[in-house]
Amino acid sequence: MSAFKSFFLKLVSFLAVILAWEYAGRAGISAALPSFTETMSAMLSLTLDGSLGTAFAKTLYPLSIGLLVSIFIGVSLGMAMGLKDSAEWLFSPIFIVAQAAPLAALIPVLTFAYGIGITAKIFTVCIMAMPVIVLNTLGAVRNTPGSLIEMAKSFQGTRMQVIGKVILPSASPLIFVGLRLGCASGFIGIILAELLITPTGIGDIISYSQSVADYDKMYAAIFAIIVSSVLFIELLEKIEQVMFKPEQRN
Amino acid sequence: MTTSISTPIVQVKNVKKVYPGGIEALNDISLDFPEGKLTTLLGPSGCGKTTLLKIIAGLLDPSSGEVLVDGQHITGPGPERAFVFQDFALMPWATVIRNAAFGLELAGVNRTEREAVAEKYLHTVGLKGFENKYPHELSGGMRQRVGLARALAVNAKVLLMDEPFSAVDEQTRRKFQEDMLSLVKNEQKTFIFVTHSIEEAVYVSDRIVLLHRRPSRVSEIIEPKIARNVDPEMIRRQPEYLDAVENIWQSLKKFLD
Repeated sequence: MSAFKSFFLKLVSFLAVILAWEYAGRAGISAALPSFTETMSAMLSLTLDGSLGTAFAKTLYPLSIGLLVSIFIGVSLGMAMGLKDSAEWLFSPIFIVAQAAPLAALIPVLTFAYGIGITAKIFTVCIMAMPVIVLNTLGAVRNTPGSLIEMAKSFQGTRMQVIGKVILPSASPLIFVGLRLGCASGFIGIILAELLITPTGIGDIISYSQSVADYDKMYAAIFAIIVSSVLFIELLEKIEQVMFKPEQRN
Repeated sequence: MTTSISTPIVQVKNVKKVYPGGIEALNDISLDFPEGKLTTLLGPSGCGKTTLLKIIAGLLDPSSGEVLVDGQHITGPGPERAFVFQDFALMPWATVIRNAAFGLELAGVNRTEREAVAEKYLHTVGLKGFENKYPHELSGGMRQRVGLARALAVNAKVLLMDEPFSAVDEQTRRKFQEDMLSLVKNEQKTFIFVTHSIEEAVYVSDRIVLLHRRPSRVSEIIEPKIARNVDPEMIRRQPEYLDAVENIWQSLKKFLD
């Protein structure tokens, strides 16, 4: 399919949703559902008075720390588990349980343990993001074709060379799938934390606007965080393309 | 030269291999591989021929016994041996030239130097102009040529080939077998070749080692006296070729279930 056609179809997909939203808003289904244009004008005024920017800065601080920690610890732990059976047996039960459990239920426990400050919010991001990153990295490492590892060994590759030149590039597509899923969960995590622990940043705009029935602003804040999450995931994909050139593979 | 021909470059001494669970793959194998010859390990599936090749490569440890290369006891892979894999073992994310130069890359040779060597061997195997393609853009036969160039590029004395042509189509396979003959003639290397195809073994080999099935033992060593200095097309019509194929078939037939 041509690049133009795929771009056109993506545009149609967005437009269809926006039009349906606009129609639903204007039809007056609920007072709590503003139209797309009302939401956008609320976003404009939030941007112009600077409150959206300030809120984003507040939200992005624990989010970026949480994501960085999750990516670094998650990928290294997943690699270690993939390379050593003992590490897998030691850690995988925790992450398998964590992936299956409704982790939002742990937020009150985290608040109890770490207070209402930034630590509990960073932790929330981590527990949401890390399990899928760890488990995908583990699976990715285990999926490295045995003959490629044997090949590198037959040419006297050292352990570090085998890991760096064969296992890591071979595992990178699946690792990046984990990173995209994990970071999307991290965005969910930070909003949950801001709604459930203490209202700050974007979560503050959402909960405050809701309490004073200013639904235009509430939707504007929700829309903004969704867009930033999508853009971040796109950025990860671009990084993968530059670093590992997945389009060259089968 | 006369001394090196008489001293076997690879010696397998009383090698046994028992896999976990008690499956005996090799039972007390002793074999010598003369330098500069192509020796084929031939036998039915499950006879342990790939296991033996991987033990010689140092990729598997024998349960007992030892392998000597150039008179030295081996404990793992070494620079005097290079392996050609049945499934090619090419890195899909790397270009043809990087794959072909990968043995040298691991050895720490700088990029210009290793790519010059790899390029030379890519030409030898007939892949001039494909240096910057990726493996998925190549046919199966061409992929195995990259695997072969990679093994040649490290300039090992012994080339270990594990059913290298079994994953390519019949026409390509025949072309490969012809190319093998000129490679053996021109490269002055020792080849240890694993196959389950009797015709292929007789066509390319100086010596054929027939292996029994589990527990695997050497049942016979055959040296087909085939004239190699003729047109490759004519080899398959020589009575010596046809007799050797027939003899091996009669001998292997006994071990079929």
